[in-house]
Amino acid sequence: MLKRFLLLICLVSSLPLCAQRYALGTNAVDWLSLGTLNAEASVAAGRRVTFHAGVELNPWTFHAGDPDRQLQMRQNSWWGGVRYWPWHVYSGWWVGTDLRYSVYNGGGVLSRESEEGDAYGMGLYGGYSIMLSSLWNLDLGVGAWGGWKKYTRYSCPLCGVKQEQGEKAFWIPDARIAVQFIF
Amino acid sequence: MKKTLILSVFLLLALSCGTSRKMQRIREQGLSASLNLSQGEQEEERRSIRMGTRDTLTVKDEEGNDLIIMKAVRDEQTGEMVAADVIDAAVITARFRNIAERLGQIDIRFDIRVPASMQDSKWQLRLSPHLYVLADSLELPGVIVTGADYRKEQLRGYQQYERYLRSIITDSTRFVDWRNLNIWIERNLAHKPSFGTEEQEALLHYTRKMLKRYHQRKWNERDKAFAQYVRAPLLEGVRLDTVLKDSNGDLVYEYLQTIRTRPKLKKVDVVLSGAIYQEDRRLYTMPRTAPVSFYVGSLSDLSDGTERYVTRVIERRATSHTSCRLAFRPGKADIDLKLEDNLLQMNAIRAQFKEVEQSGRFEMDSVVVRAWASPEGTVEGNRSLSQRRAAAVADHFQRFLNHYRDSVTQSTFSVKVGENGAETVEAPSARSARFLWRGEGENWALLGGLVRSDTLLSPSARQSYEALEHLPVLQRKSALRKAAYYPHLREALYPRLRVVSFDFFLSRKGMVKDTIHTTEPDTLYRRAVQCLRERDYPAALELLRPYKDFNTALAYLAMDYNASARQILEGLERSPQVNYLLALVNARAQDEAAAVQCFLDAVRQDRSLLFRGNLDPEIHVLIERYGLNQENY
Repeated sequence: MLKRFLLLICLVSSLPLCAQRYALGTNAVDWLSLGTLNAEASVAAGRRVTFHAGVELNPWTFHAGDPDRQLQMRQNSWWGGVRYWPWHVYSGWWVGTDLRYSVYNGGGVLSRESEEGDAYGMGLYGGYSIMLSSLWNLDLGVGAWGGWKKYTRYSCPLCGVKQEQGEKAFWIPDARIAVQFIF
Repeated sequence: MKKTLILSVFLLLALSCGTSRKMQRIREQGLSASLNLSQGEQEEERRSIRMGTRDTLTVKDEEGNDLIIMKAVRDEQTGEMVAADVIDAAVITARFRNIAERLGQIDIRFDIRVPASMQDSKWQLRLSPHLYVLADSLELPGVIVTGADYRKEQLRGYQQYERYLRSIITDSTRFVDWRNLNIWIERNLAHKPSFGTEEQEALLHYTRKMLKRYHQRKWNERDKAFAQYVRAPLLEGVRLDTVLKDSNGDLVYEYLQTIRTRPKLKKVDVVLSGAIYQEDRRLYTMPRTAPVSFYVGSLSDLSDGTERYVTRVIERRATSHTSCRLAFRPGKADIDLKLEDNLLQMNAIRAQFKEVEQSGRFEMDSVVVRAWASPEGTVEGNRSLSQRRAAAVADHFQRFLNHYRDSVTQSTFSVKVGENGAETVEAPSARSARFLWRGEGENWALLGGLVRSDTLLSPSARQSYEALEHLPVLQRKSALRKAAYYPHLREALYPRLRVVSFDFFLSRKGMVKDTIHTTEPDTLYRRAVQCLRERDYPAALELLRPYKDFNTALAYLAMDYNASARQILEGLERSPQVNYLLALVNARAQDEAAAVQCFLDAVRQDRSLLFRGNLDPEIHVLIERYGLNQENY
């Protein structure tokens, strides 16, 4: 999977572009989701189109002072996508779509139940990029992604009691408040 | 608190009642602003009548006896003129006045009086005088009397409108989001090649379009806003817009209007109309006033329309010159009609002969024929050749003329000029013209002229020819033959030297004296008098200046060139009009004694000039000051 991701990055950055802009960013909403590490790279392919690739990693498991109460949102996710900017890349409004793959194991946050599995699907987003300075952007966006997942559900993160197992469609709303470095 | 409220409501009602009652009274009585002759002008005139240089004047009467004239006033009881130092002011309520035209203009002065009962703090009076000149009517700039409250309301509207205007952003740079634009430029244009986006496009993108449209709409709707805020706008093109702080008595405005006179303008009527306005509503329309009339007197009325004649001199003798180019074979003198365009040339000369014969006014006394030769061969040979050519041509035309006269002698009559310049028709006489002929030899003078104007010759050739011209003829000829340009001279110019010229010496038929003087109307003078009557004095003066007569003096006076006018008038016979103009000149020069003397002389000669005197302010003052409109002078 990592190989595929690296391939995508190579593909995107080797696009024959006359005037290139790059951006590196990280999403604060992910960080707030139990400290999910995340990064996204993007490159402009002309005045109105950018390609994006990103990764989210969450290796953490939390106990909140009680060894029995475990909560986690462990995941490895990768995505690659494209954005359209009506005015100009990295400035103003945009709409975007991407393809995602995620391996996850999360639970114990809202209820005792936890779920693990892998999911793949497509996201649709829209947002607005505020230029903070010539090097920094604040990128705001909302959207959702959905697709197909293979999952196993447990009654608690630790006990290993399977409740449910299978495949089904899903969709998840998503939001982004990202800081981007433009160069 | 309640009491105060009731009191204020009551006061308000009382006030509005007061205004409406006032309006009702005005409507009932049909009140109007009044129109009068200018009191100020009449006062000025009375003052100028009172102020004389001397109290008594000594002038001569018809028999040359001394006559003493003093400042006088008519006694109320007896009706006799008595000496008076001061004439008391009296209000004259006449509806007409004599005014004088000066330099093509007249000053119309009148008073507009607005009675106190028509004034109100909430009202505006709009008065407009109308001028009736000949068949035209002309609205003069209005007079506006504005109440203090009315004006306050007006100005409040203007302030609101001004605030509205101030709130509109017209500076288009203020719509631009400079912060984002600058970041965008720094990021995309400053250091890296762009994606084809220009700065201009970015400027357009970072312009706040909604805001701009909003202010644009406000700007477009400013007229609507003006109408909304300013219910009663300040009026333009008015003579006076005055604000009444508090009404104390009648308001009088002295109106002065200068207008250009036109021909036949004798009378100007002024009528006043107007209305009362509150805010933008017309409350009351005033009835039109009775007219005040101004009778216009002009110096041009005195112009002398007598026709003038000019003398034209007719000479008995007349000459006519014509020349033609007859081609001759080299060394030959006989006329060959087949050579070059000889036939054409001969016909032209014959036509000339026929024209003189047929005119009937002239008799051909003599014809001088002269011929020239080109300078090939010897000088003597050329002289005799030119003589033979002249003789041949003279002989030819002598025979032609005799033949022509024989053929027409029975059918023509001639016009004869008598001693007095009158022309009579009579039968033709058979006087024959003398033909004189002369051979002029080689035509060097013409050759010089031809060489100088010949553009085919080079400048150096022309210069070398000019150097040759100073040599004696024989040397000149031999030098010329050696010159490089000689073939050109011989080919192109020499044939043109063989010319024949004719001088006709004519005389008027039947005229014995050498000159006759005849008269015809002077149209220039007629036009000048026309200009004078149309009051175009500069043009009239331009034309009249050389004549130095009565009309010239009149034009000078009309232009206020009094010294020039005096110079002419003093040289003229003392007709009543001349005396009258002299009185005017003296009055303008502040010489009252001479002015009164001249005026009385004029009136004695022509009684009607007494009434004319009232039309000219200078004379009118004298008449009033010394009581000159008396039978006994």
